[in-house]
Amino acid sequence: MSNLSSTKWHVPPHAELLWRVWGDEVVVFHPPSGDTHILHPLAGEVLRYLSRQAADLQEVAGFVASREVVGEDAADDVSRELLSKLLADFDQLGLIEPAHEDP
Amino acid sequence: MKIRELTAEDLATRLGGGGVMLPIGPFLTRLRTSMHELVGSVHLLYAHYEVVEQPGELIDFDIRLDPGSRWAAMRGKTAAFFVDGRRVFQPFERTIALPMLEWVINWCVFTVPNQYLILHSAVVERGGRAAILPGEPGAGKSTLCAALSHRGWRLLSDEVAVMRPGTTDLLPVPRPIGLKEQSIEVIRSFAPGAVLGPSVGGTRKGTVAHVQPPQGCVEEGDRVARPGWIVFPRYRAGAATDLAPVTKGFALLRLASDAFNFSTLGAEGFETAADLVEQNDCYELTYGDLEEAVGVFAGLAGC
Repeated sequence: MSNLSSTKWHVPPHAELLWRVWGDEVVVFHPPSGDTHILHPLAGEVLRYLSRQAADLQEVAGFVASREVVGEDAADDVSRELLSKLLADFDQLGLIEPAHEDP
Repeated sequence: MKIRELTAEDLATRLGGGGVMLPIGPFLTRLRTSMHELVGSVHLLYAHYEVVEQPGELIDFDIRLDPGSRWAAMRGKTAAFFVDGRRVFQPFERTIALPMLEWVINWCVFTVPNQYLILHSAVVERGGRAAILPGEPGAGKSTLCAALSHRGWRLLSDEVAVMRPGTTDLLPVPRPIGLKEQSIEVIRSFAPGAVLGPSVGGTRKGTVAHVQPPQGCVEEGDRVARPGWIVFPRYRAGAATDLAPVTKGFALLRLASDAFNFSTLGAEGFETAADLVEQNDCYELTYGDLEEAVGVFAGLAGC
């Protein structure tokens, strides 16, 4: 596993995730694996963010803090440790990968 | 011509010769066997099926069941299946040939046709809307399905919900309903008019028997149904009847985890299953009393 804090992560462009959102339930389908996952809304927000752009842990934390859906108070509770684990889980599931910058 | 219109001798001759072609929902199935002890059960359980007479039709499942070799017989394995000319399973005890035949037809439906999304679920329809009953073995879906199909609901399948990707219309695949152990007597008592094949012991599921699909269900085997409800049955002996809503995310994950080709179909499979969940109310039904459970479905259908 890569160093989570310094690595930039993204959803591989070819993954073409499919989404359904019902209230607080975010369901995502990952075509390369054929797996379906149900996510917490915050986790869904982070995954969508990483499907739009690559980001490292600090940038993800900044994104989470900026989201109205989470709110500033809640954002304070979303620790780096939690986000780090979330990225590790996404990585393990194959939903994200390290983004390599073009030479 | 229907199977029931053939004499047992004629059916035996056809099964032992060129075979009998049966339209099982959208799947044309050719069945051949020289095992005479199966003739009576096929005659009974498939009584209402139309025999397709046209040679040259495209066959979806070509199933042959033969007695095993003398060497196999010495080891107690005395029958074997061939699908599309290939032996697909190890030989087995000849005494369980009937449940094995039903299981092999199920296996064909589960594994062969990837032009359809196939969910592991019973499906019954009433008043133009279908109830989808997904459930793992032991959840009571076949028992419930057999009961409903003898209380005014049209049987589409006791095993599979079949859809063409892109639409949630449900295609009927009416087949004999497999019951096991206590469920056999439960249905005999619940629906005295139900026609059951022989009870066969010694299978991996214990004693099993099959319910003949009602005539009307077979004759309407090409009429699709619009879905109305997704109900996950959960049988618990002595449990109070309880119909509880479940979330759509939960329902979709349950459907996906128990589907046969959800992952194979990829995006098409996901979108179709997600549409199905999105368009319909989803529940979990805990029940211990079959009569009460059937009443719940009557309530859903407004009858």
